[in-house]
Amino acid sequence: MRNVGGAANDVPTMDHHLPDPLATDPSLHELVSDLTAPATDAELAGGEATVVRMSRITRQGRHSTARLVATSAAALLLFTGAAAAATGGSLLAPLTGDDSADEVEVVVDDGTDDSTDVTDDDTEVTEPDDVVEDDEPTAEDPSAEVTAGSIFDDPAVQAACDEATTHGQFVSGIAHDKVDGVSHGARVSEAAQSDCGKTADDSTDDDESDDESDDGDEAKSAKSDHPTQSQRPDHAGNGNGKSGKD
Amino acid sequence: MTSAPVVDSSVIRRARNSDPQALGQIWRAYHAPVLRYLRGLGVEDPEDVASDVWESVARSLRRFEGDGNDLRRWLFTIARRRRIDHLRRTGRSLEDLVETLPEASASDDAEAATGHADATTLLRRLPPARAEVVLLRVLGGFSVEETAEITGRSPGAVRVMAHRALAELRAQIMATEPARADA
Repeated sequence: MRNVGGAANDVPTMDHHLPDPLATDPSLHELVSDLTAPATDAELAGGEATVVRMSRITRQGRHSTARLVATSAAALLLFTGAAAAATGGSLLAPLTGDDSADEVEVVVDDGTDDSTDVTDDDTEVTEPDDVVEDDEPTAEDPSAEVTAGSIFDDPAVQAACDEATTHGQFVSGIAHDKVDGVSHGARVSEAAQSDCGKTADDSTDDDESDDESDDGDEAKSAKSDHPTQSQRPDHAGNGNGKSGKD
Repeated sequence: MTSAPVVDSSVIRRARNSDPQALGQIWRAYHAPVLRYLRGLGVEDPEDVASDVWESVARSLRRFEGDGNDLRRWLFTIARRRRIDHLRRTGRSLEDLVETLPEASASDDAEAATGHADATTLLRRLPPARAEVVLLRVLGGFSVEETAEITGRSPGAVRVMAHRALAELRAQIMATEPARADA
């Protein structure tokens, strides 16, 4: 714990779970009671609709993430297949020992933490026709971004944004995800221009002269703020970090 | 005094699997504290921002790992970020975010004059950063260290801010006491 200069002696000790003036000062009792009063009917209005929506989003997120990973694998398959055709050999062979599509499915399974969802979407991996038929817009095509929409329309991207601990990490994640039918450059550009991964405190540092927060603190805090630091699963499937108390 | 409750790990696990009952349990436990946190910080549309918070929670919940305490901290961190997003969307300058005291509204004054100024009104008269420390401590039940983590400040800075905030709140409350006694 850091000292705050000479002011530390004047500061009341507020250690754990409010054994402090907030709990003991009678003049603050009413304020604290107001804040901690049971939820009112007005506050809980609309809860059912919200919960239904949350349930739908969580389900969509599961499928969307699996689809994103599967599509990336399909793009990888296409890329390596095309490259292999150009070179007259298989680029997958050195990695897998076999150039069959089955090996790519293994990569997909490693890249997600929910195997049941991936199973649902396995057909997308084994049906690269879906991707081939798409006329992928180029970065030079001004209509590309319009037709493709925002990358944040994808719940998986939004989730990655919410969880990003650094901006670079988020942009890197997008850069490594090629999505069929969408300009890769436009996606990365949009990611780079977003605020994802930028710490909230970039804009909210207090004006307190004795606030010792610095960039190092912010980074440390941003990491520990997120019990899940997994952004996108890495190739080894180690994308699920855990922080906080165990 | 009770702060935001801690949700059981089994509920979190079920919520991650889109169980509406578990999601509802989490929502009921934390919606009011989140709403009050946003109100206390002067967010103009607390319901809208709270809605964004729950959407973010739903999107990321599947990847969440931790117990009830972790969830509570995670949820308030999201609330904090959504509030900042909201302020950016509404065109508030960075100076506004940290330095400008919210202007007391006519209704605030009326409440204060009659001695019925509620906690939210009092907190909105503090600099937002100080109000936030109090809100996190009371609503979230967070320790100084946890509050420091959430806000990205040092524990020492959090203590100083809380100390100043409480002194200002006491002064505000004392100022309303005569009006209350007269009423």
